[in-house]
Amino acid sequence: MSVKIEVNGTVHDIDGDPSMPLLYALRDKIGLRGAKFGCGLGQCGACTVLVDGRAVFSCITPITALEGRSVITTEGLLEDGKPNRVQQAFIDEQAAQCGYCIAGMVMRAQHLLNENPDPTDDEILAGMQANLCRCGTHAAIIRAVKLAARA
Amino acid sequence: MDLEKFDMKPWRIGIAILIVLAIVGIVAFALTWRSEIPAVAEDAQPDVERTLASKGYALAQLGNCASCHTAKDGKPYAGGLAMPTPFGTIYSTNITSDRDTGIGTWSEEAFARAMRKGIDREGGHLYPAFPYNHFTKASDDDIHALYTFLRSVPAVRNDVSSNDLTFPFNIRPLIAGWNFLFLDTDQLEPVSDQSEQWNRGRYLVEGLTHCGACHTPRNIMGAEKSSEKYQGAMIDNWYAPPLSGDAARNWQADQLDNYLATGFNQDHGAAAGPMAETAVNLSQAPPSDVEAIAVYIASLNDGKGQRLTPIDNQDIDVSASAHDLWVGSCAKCHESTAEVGPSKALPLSFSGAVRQSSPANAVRTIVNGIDAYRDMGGAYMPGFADILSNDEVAELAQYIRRRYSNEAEWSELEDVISTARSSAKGKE
Repeated sequence: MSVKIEVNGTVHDIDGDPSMPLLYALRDKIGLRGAKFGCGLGQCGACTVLVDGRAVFSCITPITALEGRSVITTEGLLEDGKPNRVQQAFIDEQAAQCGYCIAGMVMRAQHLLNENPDPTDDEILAGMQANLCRCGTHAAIIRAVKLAARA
Repeated sequence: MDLEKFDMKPWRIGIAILIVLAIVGIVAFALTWRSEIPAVAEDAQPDVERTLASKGYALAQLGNCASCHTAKDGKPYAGGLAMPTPFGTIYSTNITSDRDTGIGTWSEEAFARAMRKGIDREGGHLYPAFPYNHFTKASDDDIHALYTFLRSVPAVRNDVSSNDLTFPFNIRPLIAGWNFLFLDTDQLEPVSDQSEQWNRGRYLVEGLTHCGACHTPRNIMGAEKSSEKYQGAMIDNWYAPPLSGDAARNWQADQLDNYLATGFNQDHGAAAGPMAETAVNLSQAPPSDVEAIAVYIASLNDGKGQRLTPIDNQDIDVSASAHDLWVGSCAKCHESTAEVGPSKALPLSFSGAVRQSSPANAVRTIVNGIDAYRDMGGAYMPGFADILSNDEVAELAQYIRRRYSNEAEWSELEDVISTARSSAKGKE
């Protein structure tokens, strides 16, 4: 069986089980390794991508639910091959320790800023709550989101 | 100084040295010695005096006061929560001690009259969305403690919106007629052949904890139907399930106690929606009171309920796409039919929401997830609002219903799903 999914503007024909999580399709079938496998249960946010502009956990999103929808990954945020504003803010604030959660954090932040270009500190905390960083760089991550919002 | 003038015989020098040493020893002892405080006996209770305000706080948790009197992202007890009713929207009042916008000008007499008779300080009739028909059962001592607690809550200036009710319900004096018909201000007399714990539970459930306000259906006048007490009702588009009768028979007192105190019981599932707020509140209440509530609620049944056994109807005829959605979105946590999965994911045949006649709770949980226990280490589930379409949620809900219960398929799923989706950004 195959399922057609659009990722970063390109339609891919994914040959595999329709129940396959989007995350596996991205990493193993398409070769986009930005989104990470953290818990596989929709709890940590390392696999966060945008589907139709909304941040979702790609590890619990079966590809069969994606016909006709648009997926954006952290690779898709690049502008002319360079980091976009959100990604650059994470670099500027050195928001990564091990870096495993960061692609998910960037996508969550991108979603937050798409919905609310000028969030308050409380709105940033609430908006980023779904994503966990095991190294504990949340303070730098919050600074990066503020920088991206207010740059 | 000429020491030869003193008669310094050696033995006298010895005594003098001994006396000096003794004095030094006594002074040192006096400076350093501290008395021992006797050890507490093994079975002794710590002598903690609970102040009136802390007793009032516990009663406020048991009464869920903050859940209605706090707006989304608002200051505690400062009011302003919009409560949709069939008669229009009612906004909860500010019950902090702010003199202009709260109840800072209310004496205890005024507070007690509001709790007992639904009349505000100025003499106006309050709407029964404020469940004074239950609070009227509270004792003088408890009302005194609650008043003391509320006076200790920081005053917050918050001028809440005026109610938006349709005619004729916007005429407050008409509530006098409602009170005449439906308000029973008699205190509950203890039932002598029941235990003290059962009577305590009854006092709370029928009074401050006001379980019937959600779990009893209301009549056309918005009053709880005494003929259908605790038979289950819709509230804020959630289904508050029956607390008595066949549908509640499988609840044992210990399971209820565990569910109410933690928001989760492995034989029934997690409390979600408004009940999650209740469970979070009850987690702050005295455990003995929560246990008493559980004992009383469990006694509303015949006690013949059995523990549920797992159901897994694998031979059901379902579409491949429904099964794919189940495998891709649900099975990682919920696939076991016996063991509780990560984040307290229930084997779904134990879930009350899956067995209920109304699909509301199952659908709302799929769409919005469960996120009420983030700070308590309790049950958690991600919401699927942005992952699944309405059709896919419907397909999945029916799949779960058919595979993990022996109940009939749900109907009218479309309406329930669109309601759940529009509520996704509501107060959770």
